[in-house]
Amino acid sequence: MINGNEAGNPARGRLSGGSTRNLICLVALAAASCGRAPGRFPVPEQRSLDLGVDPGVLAPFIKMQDPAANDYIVRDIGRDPGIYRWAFLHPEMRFRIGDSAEVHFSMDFALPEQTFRTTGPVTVSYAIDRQALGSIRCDHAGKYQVLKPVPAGWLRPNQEVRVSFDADHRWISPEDGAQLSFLLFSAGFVP
Amino acid sequence: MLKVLSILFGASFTVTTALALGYLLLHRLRLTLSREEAAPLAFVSGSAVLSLATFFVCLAHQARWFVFLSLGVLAIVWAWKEARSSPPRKSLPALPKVWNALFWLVIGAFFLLYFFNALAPETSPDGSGYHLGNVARLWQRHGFVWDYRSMYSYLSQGMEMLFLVAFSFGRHSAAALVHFAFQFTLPWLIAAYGRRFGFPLVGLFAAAIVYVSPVVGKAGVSAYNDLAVAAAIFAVFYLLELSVESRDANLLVVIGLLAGFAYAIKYTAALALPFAAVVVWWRSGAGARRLRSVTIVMAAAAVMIVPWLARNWIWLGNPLAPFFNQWFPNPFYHPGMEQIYLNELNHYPYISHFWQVPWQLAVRGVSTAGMIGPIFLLAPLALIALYQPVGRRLLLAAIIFAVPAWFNTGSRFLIPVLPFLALSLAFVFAKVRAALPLLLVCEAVACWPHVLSRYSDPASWRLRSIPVAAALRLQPEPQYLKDHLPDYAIKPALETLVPPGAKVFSLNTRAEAYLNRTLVVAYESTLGNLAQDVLAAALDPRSQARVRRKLRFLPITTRAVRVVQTASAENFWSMSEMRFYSRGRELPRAAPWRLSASPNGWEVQLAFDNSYATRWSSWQAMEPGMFVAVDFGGPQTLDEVDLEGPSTPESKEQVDVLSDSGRWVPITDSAEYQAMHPPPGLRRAATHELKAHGVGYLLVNETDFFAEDMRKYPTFWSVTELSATRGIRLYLIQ
Repeated sequence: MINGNEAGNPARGRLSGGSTRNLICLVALAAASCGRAPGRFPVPEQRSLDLGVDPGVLAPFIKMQDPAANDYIVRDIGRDPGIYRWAFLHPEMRFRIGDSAEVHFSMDFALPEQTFRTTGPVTVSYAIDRQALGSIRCDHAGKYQVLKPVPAGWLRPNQEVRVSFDADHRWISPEDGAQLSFLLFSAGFVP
Repeated sequence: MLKVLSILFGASFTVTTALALGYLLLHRLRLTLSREEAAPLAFVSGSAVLSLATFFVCLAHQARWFVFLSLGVLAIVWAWKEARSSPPRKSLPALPKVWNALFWLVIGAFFLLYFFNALAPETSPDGSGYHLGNVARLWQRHGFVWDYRSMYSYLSQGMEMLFLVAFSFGRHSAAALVHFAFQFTLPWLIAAYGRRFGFPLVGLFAAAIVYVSPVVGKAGVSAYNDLAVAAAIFAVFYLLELSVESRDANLLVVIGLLAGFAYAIKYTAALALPFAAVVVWWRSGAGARRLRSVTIVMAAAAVMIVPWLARNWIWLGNPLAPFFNQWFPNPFYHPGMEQIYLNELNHYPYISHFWQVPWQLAVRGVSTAGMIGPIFLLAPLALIALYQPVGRRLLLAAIIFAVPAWFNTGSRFLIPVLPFLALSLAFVFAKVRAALPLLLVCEAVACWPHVLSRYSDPASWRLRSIPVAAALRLQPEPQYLKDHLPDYAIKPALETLVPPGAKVFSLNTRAEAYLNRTLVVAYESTLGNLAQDVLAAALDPRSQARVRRKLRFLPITTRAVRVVQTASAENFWSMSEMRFYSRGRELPRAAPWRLSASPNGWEVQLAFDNSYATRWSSWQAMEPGMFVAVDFGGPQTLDEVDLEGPSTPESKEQVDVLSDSGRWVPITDSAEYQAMHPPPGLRRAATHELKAHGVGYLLVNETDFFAEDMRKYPTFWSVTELSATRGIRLYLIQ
């Protein structure tokens, strides 16, 4: 290799030989040491895989304010979004439960003052897959809560289950004949 | 009106300070310049000095209005005193009166158009986005914000340093007016160049057609940096031309300083330095003088460049961030994201044939985000200028400074080329009687916004009106901003419902200059990439763990295992989870385990967090030698490694175990593929991950891939909608 020294120019030789090599080495060293080394990491906190269900998959329990609430309605329950829905003539819902051991049927509903004035005391009964589970007598307007154990064997794990309701007195609209039973806030199965 | 005065003060104070510093510099260097050329050169070189000074002010976290005021007044008084004691500068030869009148008529009309647009509230995409977003953050924190991670904050911010001075007095529009000052300086320099070197009419013509260029108009009135880049580059060229006449070494100092300033303003302008160095080398004769000259240029440039390199190297581990991340790996920006970003910029939308590009560039302006003006359709004629030396030099500069336009298809990236192209064209047309004034008038008329709207694409990026009422704030600024910036509508909700310091994820870039909250944008940071990835994992099967690759082997006892990639492909290598088994039972992950990966070792834990919402990715094209490794901290017996992740048929893995002698020994490279279904609840898992990584809010456009699903199923996402306006929803992650 011919460098500056061999060509007879010492000044140029120093530059293109030693200095340039040194410079290249320095830059290479700097480049090699740049960037960041990530190192080694411990195992992170383990995430739970039990994060509930996806839309379109029925859960054991639903609040009427849930955007997926309509998926649970079989018939005769209002479909407009809100924290409650009107139950009409033969309201019916559907659910799916994973584990059927020691399950309670739960329901929150209300009778408004306006309809109660017309209907008087109302008995609301509820059934699971057409088998009567129980009833509640409502002798005043206001909110009611149901929490009733479900007999063993009534529910099959991971199978759809139907819950129907019946009110013995309903408010009937004088305009279009619509029959209003009660306001439903939530329903389903809880441990 | 007080608002307008504060804007005008902020901008004029910044420009005057830059001028003062520039005059001081030129005076100290004893450069002999005429009156007409000294002013624009003083402004550009003084801007470099002011930009550098502001850098150190930001480093010291003293970016406050009274600091800028004190330093500025000091510079202005000092320069004024020196000017009084200096002999008056000579003038360049006078211009023909008719030409002078025509020139000023054109320049004056466009000056008013540009002035009112620059004074109006700033609504340009990048100006209201990252340029002034960076400035607003610097202003709020009185200096560099080290804990904010966005690729845009890693860019050199030479222009933002000037914006910051103006912003501290007059906010957004004051910054835009500083850029407007560069927009005016560029034609001034071109005209001065023509007068200085004996072709005044050529200079005037070129200056005017550059000034009226639609993209110069639009970019120049926005808080961008393209006109500052063009002015700095042309000033370098100008001074290089002067250096032929004058052998003054001090001229080289300014050349270097401005070449460095060009880099400080915009990375793509780094070409100014090799250009200057080569020209100086070429012209400096042989021997030590040549080396000395180039060293002066390089050293002066280093003064402007090194601070930005050093900032990024120390801060991010990458002096050239946000680029070259493969050379300088760092946890703040993925090389793969960099590549995706660059590919996006290097793409002409709505173009089916390459020959459509010139038409788009000059006339239509939709595929090229603006147009340079119809006269530049005649650009091939500029080649005729090759017959004279100056034409050759101009065309060489045009070719060199056009290189960035190859990588970014926006017409803005050709602005630095326009002065050289315009001068070359002017030399050609000057040979034809009356061609210059005729063409100038035609071009000026054709580039006036109302005429432009008749032939350019309706969606092109250009000025459309003279917003006098908005500029003078007769129309309230918030109303104007609401009408022109959809993001502005979310400002009240964002700043009321999101606490300061909380992170808000957005898939799209936002008008962050007006939104006083910390935004994490999908493509701007590694955290943004992660957030986008986990949201995709909730909905998109291509991002979900759908395949389990089982690598089985005879039972072996080892201290460490690694899975090595042996294939090459454009896709990234990724895995949601890596699991180890012995006799069919998974080895429980234990505290002594140590995880590592290459590349992207910083995110290796994502493959070991038991979450199917997250995944480790190489974030660069698959290539042999990439690995994910686990050191068990002690001997472990195992007979199977499972990799769960999206389907990547190109991927081919090999399992290595660490032998007693400390060598990696390959065990198997044959995998059994098994389809798998990710567990339910991935929506909730995704938002939990975001929250775990400090992102508490989401800003969602109705066109975002998860927008409709999130609107429909907020409970499944575990989010609450806080506000919705003009198609933008703000969600709180529960």
